[in-house]
Amino acid sequence: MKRIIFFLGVLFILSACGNGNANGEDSGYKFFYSDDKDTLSLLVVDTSLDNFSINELETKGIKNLISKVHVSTSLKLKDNKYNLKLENKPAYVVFSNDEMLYTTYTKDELFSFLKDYKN
Amino acid sequence: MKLSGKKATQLLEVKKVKVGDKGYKYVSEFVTIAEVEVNQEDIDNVNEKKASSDVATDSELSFWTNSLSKVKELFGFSSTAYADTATDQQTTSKWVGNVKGYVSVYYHQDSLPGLEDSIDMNYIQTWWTAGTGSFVSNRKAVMEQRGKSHWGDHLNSTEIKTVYPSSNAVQKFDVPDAWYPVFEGFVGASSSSTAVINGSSYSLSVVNKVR
Repeated sequence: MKRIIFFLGVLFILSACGNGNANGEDSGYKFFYSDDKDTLSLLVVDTSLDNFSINELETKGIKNLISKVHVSTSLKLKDNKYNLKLENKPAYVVFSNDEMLYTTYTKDELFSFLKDYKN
Repeated sequence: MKLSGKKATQLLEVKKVKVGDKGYKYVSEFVTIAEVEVNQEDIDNVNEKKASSDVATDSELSFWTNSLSKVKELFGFSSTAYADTATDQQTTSKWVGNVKGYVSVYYHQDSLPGLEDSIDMNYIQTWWTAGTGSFVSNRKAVMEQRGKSHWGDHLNSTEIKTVYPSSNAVQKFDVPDAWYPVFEGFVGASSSSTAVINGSSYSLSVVNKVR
C-alpha cells in the first residue's frame, strides 16, 4: 500500500512539473501559432496597422497558406510576455501550429520564404 | 455649468453599473484626490444625477454617462495616455472552394493604471471573395467580448452584437463604446455565410478570437 501511495505521489509531482512547463510555453509566442497544421500564421510588428494587409499575400500568389495574420503596433521588439526578440520594425514572423518558423525584416524575403514553403 | 468632483493620482477601481436604458453609472475610487472641474459643454451624453447625488464624497465621484471614453477624460487621463484607438489587429480567413471569408478584429490594450492586463475591441471588418461561378449569401457576423473585467467588481462580462454585412466588400462595424475591457477572456468576432459554388451550397464560417 505504501508503495502505491509513493508511486501516486511521484506521478503527482511529475504531473505538476509538466503543467508548469506548459504554462511557461503559454506565456510565450505560442499565442501566435496557426490554428491548424495545414496553414501558417504571420505576426507583423510595425509602426502602423495599415502597413500590411492579408490581401497582399493573395496578390503575391500565396493563396490559402496563411490563415491568420496578427499586426501589432504595440508589441515591443524585446517583448517578455511573448518571448519575442526582434531587431527592427517592421518585423515579420511566421508560425506553424506548433513552432516559430521564420523571422525576417523585409516583405520581399517574407514572400520568398512563403512561396518556397508552399512549393 | 460645471461639475465638481475628485480627481486621483492613482486609480484604484472603476465600477460600472448599468442603469435602465439611460446609460451607465460610473463610480471611481482613488488613492489620493484633488479638485477637478469639468465644463458641461465638454461632456457629451452626460446627464446630471439628482441633486442630492451630485455631491462627491472624499473618495468617490459619481455621474451619468454612456460613454466610456468620456469617463476616461473626466478622470484626467489625457487622450494620448489613454488612447482608445486600435493598436493591434488580427485577421483570420477560411475558404471553401473558390469562396473565401475574412474577419479582422481591431483592438487595444487598456491603459488605465492597474488595468493594463485588459483588452478592448474597437471595431471589426468583414469581407468575402468569390471566384467565377460562385456567390455568397446569408452573411452574418457576431462580435463578442467576454471575460473578467475590472469594471464592476471583477464581474464576468459578456457582450455580444450581431450585424449583417450587406455585401462581399470590406465593411466596418464599430463595437459599442460601453463594452467592458476584459482580461482572462477574449475579444473577437465570427462570420457565417452560405457559399454557393456551381449551384451547390456550402456553409462557411470564420472565427477570430484574440486571447
